[in-house]
Amino acid sequence: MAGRPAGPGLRLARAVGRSLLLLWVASVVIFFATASLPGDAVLARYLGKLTPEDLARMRQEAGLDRGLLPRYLEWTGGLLHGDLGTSLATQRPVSDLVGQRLGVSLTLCVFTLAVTIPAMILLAWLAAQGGRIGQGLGTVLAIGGSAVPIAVTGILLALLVGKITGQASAVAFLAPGVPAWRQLDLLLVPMLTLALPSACYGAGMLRGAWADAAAHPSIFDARVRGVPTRVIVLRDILPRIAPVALRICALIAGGVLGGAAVVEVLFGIAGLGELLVTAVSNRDLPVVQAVALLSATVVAAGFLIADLAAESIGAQIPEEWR
Amino acid sequence: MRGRILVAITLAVWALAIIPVVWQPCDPVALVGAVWQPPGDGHLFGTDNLGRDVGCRALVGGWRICATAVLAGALATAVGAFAGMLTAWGARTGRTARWITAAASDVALVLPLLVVALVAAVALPAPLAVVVATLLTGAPLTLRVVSDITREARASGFVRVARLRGDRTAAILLQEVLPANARLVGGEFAQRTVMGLQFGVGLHVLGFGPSPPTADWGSALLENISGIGLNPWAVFVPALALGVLAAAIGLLAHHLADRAGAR
Repeated sequence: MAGRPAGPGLRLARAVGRSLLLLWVASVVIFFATASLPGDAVLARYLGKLTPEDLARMRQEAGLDRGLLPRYLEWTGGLLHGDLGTSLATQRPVSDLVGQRLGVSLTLCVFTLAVTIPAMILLAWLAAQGGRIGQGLGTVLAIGGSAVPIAVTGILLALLVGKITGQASAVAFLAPGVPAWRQLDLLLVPMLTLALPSACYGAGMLRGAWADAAAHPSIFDARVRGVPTRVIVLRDILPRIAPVALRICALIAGGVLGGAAVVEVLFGIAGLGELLVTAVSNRDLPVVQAVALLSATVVAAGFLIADLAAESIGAQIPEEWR
Repeated sequence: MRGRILVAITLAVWALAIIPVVWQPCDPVALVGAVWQPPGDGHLFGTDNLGRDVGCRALVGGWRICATAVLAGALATAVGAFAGMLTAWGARTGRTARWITAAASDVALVLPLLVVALVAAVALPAPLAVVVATLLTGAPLTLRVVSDITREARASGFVRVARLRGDRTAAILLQEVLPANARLVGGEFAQRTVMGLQFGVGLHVLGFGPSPPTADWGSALLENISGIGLNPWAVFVPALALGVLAAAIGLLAHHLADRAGAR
């Protein structure tokens, strides 16, 4: 394609097409990886409880006696019509099961990002430009913080918050029927547990981009002319690192939406990640597909926005971020 | 200096964790008191969810996670480094291989890590699942780093001398390129070991760890979180051990990569 100038419309179409292709490949990988596990939804639930004839009949009713390819095509066909299918384990529509959990996961996701983004930017700034001590401290926090397993972070935060507030329980007993965002106090520790490692991880990634941006000649110029640091950061540095930051946020959002199982199980929250764990154990393929694809879509959409943002400011996302 | 301190911390925790393989100082499943008793009464860190000694279980319960993480890290690094050298060395296959790795790493980023780990954990016993998950998600990252340095090394003087000398490719890669980048590969090993540690702890908390009476740092976190108000030590001791170990290895990885960059 080199040398042929592409219009903005064409470029957008190409970028969207690339994201869709990526999602399709991801869905194929997820479907066939889960389907190739030993056993299936009926066997996982009824093996040893029903006669072999009954098992065979149930597998036939659930369509599990067919090959993988027809099942995958049927699932994709339904998806194109906005139908997520029916859970093999509970016989309920997948959209119901996902919808039930979506509120909590979405709340966690939004508030995690709300904590992560400022913390990540502050930490990246400290690690990139904080003088000798600040740089050392920022780097140690960013690298060390993202290495610690998330369950460990959760425990340490629960102990700390418990010490401060005098609360004796770490488990979030969410009242059923009340929207999750109205019980934020109960979700404080889980939210911080998701946000802090994300901020450390993001800062570790952003540190280099920030240092590069700050080393740009125009910024040196501005500094010499006496432009205040605050203005330089807001006007020159943040826009330059925005595309990379957006990609990081996309990864974090996707991770919290469908991949926060460890935190959810630890703190007793019924979110999408916990649903995914159960669904994989039950071989409930439609549910696994729906949750995994939801999380993958968030990441892919975020990447797309980051690419478009990079293009709109004429910046390029460096090779190592691609 | 900083590197040495980090190595010392890592080895100290690791050595402590591995002791019970050769010598068990106490019985980790003996019921010694009431449930979640605070420290005292002869138990340094109190008791856990079934009234077992927390200190003893912490001493005995670390080797599985630690050993698995190191094994997973070593394997992911070896496979990634081998594949990285291969893709960078063959000039003609280089471009296709690079395209495939780029595409694969895109898919890997979009794919939820949890699904990979869960599928592995359902199909395989826990230690093997950690190894497979680390291999699948970590080896491609090492591949990228090693193929970059191999491509650089290929054009450098010492490799040209070796080629003119008539050395075989395998000998050049293993005796010249690899030792010249020992720090970087060491950093990769540390980084992949951290991944192995994270997968291990995550899967054990999700219930895919060793079966119940067995003492384990990861499982202890979930077993004892409900008793956090009664005996916080039951979760604090294993969490601290895992946290210190992971942070030390992570910082060591960064330190090695940093030194390699400044060479």
